[in-house]
Amino acid sequence: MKKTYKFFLLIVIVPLLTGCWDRIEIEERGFVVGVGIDLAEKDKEKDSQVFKTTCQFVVPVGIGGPTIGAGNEKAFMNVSETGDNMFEITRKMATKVARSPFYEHLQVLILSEEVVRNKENLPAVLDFFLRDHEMRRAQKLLIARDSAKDILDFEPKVEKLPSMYIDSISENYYKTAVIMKPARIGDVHEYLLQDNNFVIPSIRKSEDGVKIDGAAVFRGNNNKLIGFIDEQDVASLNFITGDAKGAEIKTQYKDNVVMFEVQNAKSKIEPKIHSEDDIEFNIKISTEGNIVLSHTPVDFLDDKEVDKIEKAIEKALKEEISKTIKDIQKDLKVDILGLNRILEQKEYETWKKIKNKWDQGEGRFPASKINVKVDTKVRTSGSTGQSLK
Amino acid sequence: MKAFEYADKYVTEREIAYTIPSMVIGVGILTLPRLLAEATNNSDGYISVFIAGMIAVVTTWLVAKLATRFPEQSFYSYTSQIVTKPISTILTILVGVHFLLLTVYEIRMVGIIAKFYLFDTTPIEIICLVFFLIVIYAVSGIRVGILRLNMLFLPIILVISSLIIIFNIGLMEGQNLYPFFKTSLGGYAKGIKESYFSFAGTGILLFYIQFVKKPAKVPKHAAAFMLLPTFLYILIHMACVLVFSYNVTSTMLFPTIELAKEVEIPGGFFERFEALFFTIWIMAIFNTTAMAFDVSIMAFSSLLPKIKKFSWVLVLAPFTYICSMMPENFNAMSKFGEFISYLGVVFSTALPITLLVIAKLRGIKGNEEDI
Repeated sequence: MKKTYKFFLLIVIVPLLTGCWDRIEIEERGFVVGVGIDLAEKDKEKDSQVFKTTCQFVVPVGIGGPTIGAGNEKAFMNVSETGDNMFEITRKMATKVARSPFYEHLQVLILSEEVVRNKENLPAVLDFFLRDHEMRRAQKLLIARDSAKDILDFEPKVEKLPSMYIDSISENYYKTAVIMKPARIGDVHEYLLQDNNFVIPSIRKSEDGVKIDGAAVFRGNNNKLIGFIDEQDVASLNFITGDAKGAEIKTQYKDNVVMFEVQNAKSKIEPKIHSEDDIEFNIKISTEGNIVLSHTPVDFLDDKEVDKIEKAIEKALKEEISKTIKDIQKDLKVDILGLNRILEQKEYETWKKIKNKWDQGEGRFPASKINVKVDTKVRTSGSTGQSLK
Repeated sequence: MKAFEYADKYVTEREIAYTIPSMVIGVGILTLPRLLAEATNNSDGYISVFIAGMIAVVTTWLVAKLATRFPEQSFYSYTSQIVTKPISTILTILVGVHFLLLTVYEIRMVGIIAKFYLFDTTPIEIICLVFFLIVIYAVSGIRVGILRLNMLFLPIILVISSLIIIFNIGLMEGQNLYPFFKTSLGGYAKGIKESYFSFAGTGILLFYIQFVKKPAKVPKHAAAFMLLPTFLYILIHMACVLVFSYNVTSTMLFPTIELAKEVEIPGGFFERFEALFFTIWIMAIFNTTAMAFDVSIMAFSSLLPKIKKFSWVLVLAPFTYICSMMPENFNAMSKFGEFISYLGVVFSTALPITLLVIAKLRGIKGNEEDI
């Protein structure tokens, strides 16, 4: 009797143990890997902001698997929807796409220049991506020079998904100086909360697909887009902030090209305060690396020649960086070199006094004297001392 | 229900020390970096945690000292000797209610966090109920079992927490640390207060030391084990500041969870490291809740020894569950949490120290001469 009773109890328990309330089969999820945000056309008549959001969904059939080869289908599907906020758009998306959008694998977020022109939009758009629990803080943010939708819409060659392709390009920052370190959404959250000015890499369409090209400059205290800097400026900026690993420096030596590859770059910034209005900075950049190409017949086994080459490289780099600094001081008038952080760290008392007068209005930043000193060491010259005579 | 009977019902003084970090590490670890970042600038939070930790080490030692004066006696019985029976009855009820409220708080917090990060559509009532049923199961068994479980869980918790910090090293930015020492004195004080709240819970020693046969060395061991949460808190706070900077940390609801979410180890399974973190965190909070509920039952049953322990569980469990469903939202829970933290300071620090002083003054010592 007791046994049957126990058996009955076990049977009753079974339906209660059948697993998880929140189960969603993996086949039913619509993996979103990229999101592009533009302003909708409509918005020009009305006054309110209307965003056009494009989600890039993965189409698993197009990707194929280890056993099934990829079909001829495209591996992705772009779906656009409009609305005045991100969450509404996401929910509207569910009326169009069979699988509900799932953001945990989101890789890139692309905002068009138009969107961020209005200073309220950057925080407004990012709020959803920072607040939602499905989001991670490692998604990369890029500013599109033209429409974000177009950027997500090309068929890349080596990757199946445009978003993954863009993600891979932005990871190339350690191979060249002209790409800056990717701006993760978490970093941008930091920028929005702090008063420091910041830069976000920008991307544009090119013949072969897309190209990461320079960066967008934002004013820190109101998140306003100030302008763009080009590739060369990004490279100089990377040298100043000490992120210039893998950079290449082109220099003229005896009327011919010599290329220098930077293996290691360090920068040290020392502020010198003469008075509150007169602050001088000494930026010392030390690089070391290899000669990777020479169109000049030089014998690199000769110490004197190497010394001269080093001088030439130092000169070329110094000119480049000084030009960038001058342009930033003259045209953009915002401190994206991180000098304000240096002042805050090293001269806190002075910084507190001049904080609000640093690069706003008739600030002190554009007038500051910034000296650049470059020190270069050539470590090797490849596998040959001299390739031509 | 028949519980598994252990061969011995006593624990060693080292085993009892494990209860301290297990009890202390709970909900606090998730929010502490935010509270510290709100109070202090840049990396200065570690000073507050360190000072609060040292205070906690001393108070743990004092609390343990009180209980070790009366080996193998219950809280009710030795407080009766110190401050007469009627007062002791009131104190025991209050302490029991305090630990019951702590149970209520922990259950609801598990529900809130699990619902937000893990189970989007599961009703919070169900999450809390399932968690609480397991706690009830643990408490219905023999006490020493819960104490031994601490020894099993604590190393796992510490290892995974360290892994989270180690895997985040790549994302740390040294410049987030300076400038140093730019916090006002008031900021440090607030930081100390918030950190000390996260060290609450040492009051359980008042009850558990009766299971130690020769408790002479307990105060020393318990105080030493208090250093573990101190260093863990410091490391986690520093990691948050280094990875997020203090401004961002101060805006995150649960910075420690975000820290776990930052970890991305390429290659499949471990790419989502927070799954592991949630596992160990729920283990930690399970220990805390089980001990809080158990101590509360011990307090009540010492007043009416005739009623069986399991009957107490049956009476208190529904009440606890209903209470944990009462607060309306997260902000109400935060206020409730703060209230409990103040109670914790009263019952885990002020009360035992007062009792110890009275016992010293009146020269009341353990039961050797009594029996």
